[in-house]
Amino acid sequence: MKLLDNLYAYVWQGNDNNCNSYLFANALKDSKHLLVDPGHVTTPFYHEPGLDRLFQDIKNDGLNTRQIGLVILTHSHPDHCEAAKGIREQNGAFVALHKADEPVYKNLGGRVDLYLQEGEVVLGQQDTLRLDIFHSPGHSPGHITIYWPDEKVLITGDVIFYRSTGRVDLPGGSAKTLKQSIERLSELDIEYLLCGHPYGHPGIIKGKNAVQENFEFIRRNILL
Amino acid sequence: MEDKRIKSALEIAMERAACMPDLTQEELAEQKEREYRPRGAAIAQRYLEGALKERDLQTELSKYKEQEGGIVKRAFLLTLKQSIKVESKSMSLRALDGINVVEPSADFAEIRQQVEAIFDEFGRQIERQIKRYEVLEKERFQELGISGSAVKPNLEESQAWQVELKRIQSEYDSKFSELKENLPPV
Repeated sequence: MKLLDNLYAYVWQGNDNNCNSYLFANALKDSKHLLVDPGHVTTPFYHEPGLDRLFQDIKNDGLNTRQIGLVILTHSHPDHCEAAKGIREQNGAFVALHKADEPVYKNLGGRVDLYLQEGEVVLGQQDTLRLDIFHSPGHSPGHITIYWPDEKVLITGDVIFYRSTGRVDLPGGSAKTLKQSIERLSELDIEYLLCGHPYGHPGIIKGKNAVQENFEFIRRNILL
Repeated sequence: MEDKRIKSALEIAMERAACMPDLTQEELAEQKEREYRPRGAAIAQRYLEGALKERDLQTELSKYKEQEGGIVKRAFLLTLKQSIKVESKSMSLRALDGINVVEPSADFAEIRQQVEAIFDEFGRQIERQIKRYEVLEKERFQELGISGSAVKPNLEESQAWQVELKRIQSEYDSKFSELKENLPPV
């Protein structure tokens, strides 16, 4: 689904747990795409074809999946990163992740080409796309969130959902750190909050007020 | 009268063994080497892993006397010498200290200083080259239109860097080999 000019959102429609994926079309040289969080190849319980469905949706938008040249992983949990390995092998795409999440990803058989740390990523050569990378730990030690300042878009991974937050009971999780990460992100100017899962809501929150209300709800009811 | 009793497997094996010629002195020595060499290597390994302290080494080695003691000590020293390599400074210095406990040398302080100097030089060279290869990797990402302050290459995935790293390691391993010749012979 086309969300903005070259930003596409793929909300997971299956029954099993899998993540939402986001794609910046033609963001790299040679009209290659950036894909954020490709998710599961096959979901673990109902064996739904996560990657096949994602690729079909991307094709339905008129985009070539062979043109995915960079995969950014918000973190290294399998429901976000499992399919990255195959895309790297098939397309020769680069895989990017925060270094603190690399050990888990390596255990899953993944290989990282570049680490993302706090700072900016500049994509493309002429009409460049600038993305700010925030280290947002709490759900996992190396969790990152991706902010597109030009369009005021924040891709949250598993830090923030619609009226909810990511789990902190998984290895490397920390409620205190997650709270700090969320407070920091809440200060950004956000028009589109793009969450990592469609939990009770597609996970795409549009409009500054709706985004702020979501932060307020989380602050009042979850972070306390 | 001939014994018609059926022989057990053990009896047959013993009869055959009795017919075999005695081992020569060389074979006996080789057998001892095979038996005691792993014990010396194991003491060295336990020391390198920190399970044995320097002060424990003489006690452990002195459990073996005469010919066996010689084999164990040689294997111990050989294992420590082989552990002096560029991959680990702490392991190499520990190995060196262990050798000095068992075979003290007047030149020890000087050799240790030389080993430390080689490690420092190695570290500096690696740091310089890492910077150089990070730039090269960033250029590779830039070819696809990926740049920015957030991007840090993972050199583990760079084939060019892996080749360069092996080259540097082998250069410094040669330096260590020269230095090891000044250590007590094994």
